[in-house]
Amino acid sequence: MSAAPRQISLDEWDDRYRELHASGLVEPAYGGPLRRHFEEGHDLRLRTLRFDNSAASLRLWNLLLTEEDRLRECRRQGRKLVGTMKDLGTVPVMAYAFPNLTAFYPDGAWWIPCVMEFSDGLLRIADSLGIDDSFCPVRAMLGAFLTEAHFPRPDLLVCSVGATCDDFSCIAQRLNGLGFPILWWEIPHRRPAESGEADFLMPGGMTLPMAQVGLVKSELARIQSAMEELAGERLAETMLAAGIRRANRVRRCLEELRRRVFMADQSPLPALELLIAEMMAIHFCSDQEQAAQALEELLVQVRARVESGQGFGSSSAARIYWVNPVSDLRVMNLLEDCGARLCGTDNMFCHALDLIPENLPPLDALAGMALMDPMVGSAAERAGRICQEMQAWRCEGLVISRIPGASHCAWEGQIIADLVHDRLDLPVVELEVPPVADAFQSSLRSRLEALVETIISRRTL
Amino acid sequence: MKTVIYECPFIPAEWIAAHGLRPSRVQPPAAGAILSLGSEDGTCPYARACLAAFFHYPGDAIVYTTTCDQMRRGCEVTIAQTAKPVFVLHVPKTWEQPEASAFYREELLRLSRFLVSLGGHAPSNSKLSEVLLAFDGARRQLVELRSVATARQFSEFIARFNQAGDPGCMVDIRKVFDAAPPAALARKKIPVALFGSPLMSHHYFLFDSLEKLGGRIVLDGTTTGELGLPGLMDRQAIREDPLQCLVNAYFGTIPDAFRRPNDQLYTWFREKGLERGVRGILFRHYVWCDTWHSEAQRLKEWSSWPVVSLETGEETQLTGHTLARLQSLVEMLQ
Repeated sequence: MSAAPRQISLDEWDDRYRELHASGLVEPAYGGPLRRHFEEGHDLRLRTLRFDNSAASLRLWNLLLTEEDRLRECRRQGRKLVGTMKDLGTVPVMAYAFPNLTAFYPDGAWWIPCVMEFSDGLLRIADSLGIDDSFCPVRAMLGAFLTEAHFPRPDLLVCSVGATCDDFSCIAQRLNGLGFPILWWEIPHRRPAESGEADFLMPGGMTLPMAQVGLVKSELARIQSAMEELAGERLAETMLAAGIRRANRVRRCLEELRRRVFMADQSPLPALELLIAEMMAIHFCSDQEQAAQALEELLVQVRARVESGQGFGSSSAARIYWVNPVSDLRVMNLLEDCGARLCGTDNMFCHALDLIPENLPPLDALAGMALMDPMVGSAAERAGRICQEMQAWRCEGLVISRIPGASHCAWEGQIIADLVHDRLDLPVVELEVPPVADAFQSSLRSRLEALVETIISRRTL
Repeated sequence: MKTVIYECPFIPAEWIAAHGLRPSRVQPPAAGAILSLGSEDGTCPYARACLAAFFHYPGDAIVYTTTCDQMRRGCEVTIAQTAKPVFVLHVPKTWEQPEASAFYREELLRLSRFLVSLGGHAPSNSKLSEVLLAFDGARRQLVELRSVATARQFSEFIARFNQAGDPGCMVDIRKVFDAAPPAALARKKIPVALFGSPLMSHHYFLFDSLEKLGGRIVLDGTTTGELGLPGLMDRQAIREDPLQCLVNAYFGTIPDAFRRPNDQLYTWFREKGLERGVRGILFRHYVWCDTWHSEAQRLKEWSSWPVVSLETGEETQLTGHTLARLQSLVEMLQ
């Protein structure tokens, strides 16, 4: 069943799929050929992407692209749906601790305009509601709520606000003003504990002010009560602890996957599939068990490739650290076309990749993790972690991907770039990626190629 | 006496003054080319202006808040480029739960420790009460001027009061008013509410321009105007728990757009609009100011008053675009 690693087109996947089936591929219920997402789901962007040719990656893509069906099936089966917005990784851990709740991020709608190449019309709906293109592409979420074409209306909507980007907070407020009830919860701007102030030690050594942990804990307790009411049962501490362990199963898998991908001489997994895999951490693509299994299968594939010395691209590819997720998935392919590979990422949810402490009271642990969100702290702190990881993973350059209109992008790029320059003396490129970047392809390509050339020329110095 | 500068209306001037320091709320001019503050693309002109003002304004320390994400992040630029002590106060965006108000109170106590580190003295309850009474009395005098001053005068007096950070400034404000009282209030002109993003210090030409066209602003619904004024305080409550009184007056009453949910903003606006006989709304927001921009369409859907919205940048004088918008508002209402 295994073949040499190769990136193939959607058309090539037809043959590859037949080949895999002929050799005995067994798929989960959501399996099937990739092409059906293009033809039936109008995921038009797929025809422009190049995919990993492994069965494990096929499963990953199928899990991702069937989420809408899964959510509808959950509703049909009577499971309650929780729309968790903005916190990226914490509240779903609690939701999945209940046996009859399914959590998902309506925020994920930000990729729909890309995947459907604007045929979805979601951005036009956002425009008509006064949320125009001066806002982050996550504004597509508004259209998705109104049309209910991409996910059912959740039974409970929760949204973190406070030290979050204004775009999201405003879009959520607009949604609320349109009659969608939202349980707002506060996440304070993270700061170091001050002298003499009670603190809370997180694994990794960061100390958080107890006052902030206390606030977030009380907010999470409020969410817990709302979920208990929705689920019709109390969430015992043991249930939440078990939920944390299940989330950690996914995080452990991702930790090893990332380490192996970033540290291998030749990349054993393309950038695009790695991005999709990382996304599983935040809400498990609406099925925690399937997400864990899909990632474990992918990890087996990656280990096998590393052990056999197989991979993608050249072993001399420029080693890039990438900051912020791209709204156009195709740019991940473009990075590799330019002679680079991913050797580190900060897609704004590093806290969802870190293990949740299992030796703390569960709610304390979740409160601490919520506060570890890179976006609630300073850009300088975020840059500090980026520098550490760039060193650990031997990165040679940094790409900061600006999200069009996003409030955090106004200043953070400059702050992160300055710190990486100062501490590591490595080249940095900041570029902006719109949801469909075809019109900017040549300029993006030249900037990425210039970065790669700079990196290669510095190797000889 | 050391001066502590800030921009956010949720920083209580009384709290700083009670520590023996001078509070001064900055109303910035446009940043223009004064300073290179990153890319202008994507950056709110008001946030840029505040950062530039903090560099140039005479002050010994700077207090930022988290009510605006661009300002929260811009704070890091300030920290990197100035030797002045900088403090960041988290103002909760949620307000419906008592924990939010309690957290704001805790943040004020943390600010107190910062002020002490600057050489201030943590106030006793009686000292704080005394300062609160003085500020509240002065603010009452200020609010009374609204009925006799022109709209522009009143809004500028608010800015002057905030910048002075001293109740004694009402003597000067009164002198300014007495020296140039309005010849006649433009009662026959069409009453309009100004609503939206805060004004920069050179944006008051809007008031004059509108008057020339036949309108007059009767409600300054910006946080540099009436919207940013804390509630008047209960004298008995001041004596009983002055810090809580401060929390209630600021966190409990200022209905800013960033709050979640922010329905109180509309309640405040409807109440004031009806009271002032408003007939139309000039809604103004900066390009890249998400917080106010996102309210534009909602306001139009909510309001029974006609709304003209105006997107603005760093302009320091009346532009053709602004003039056309003002004209269309007045013509619509005539």
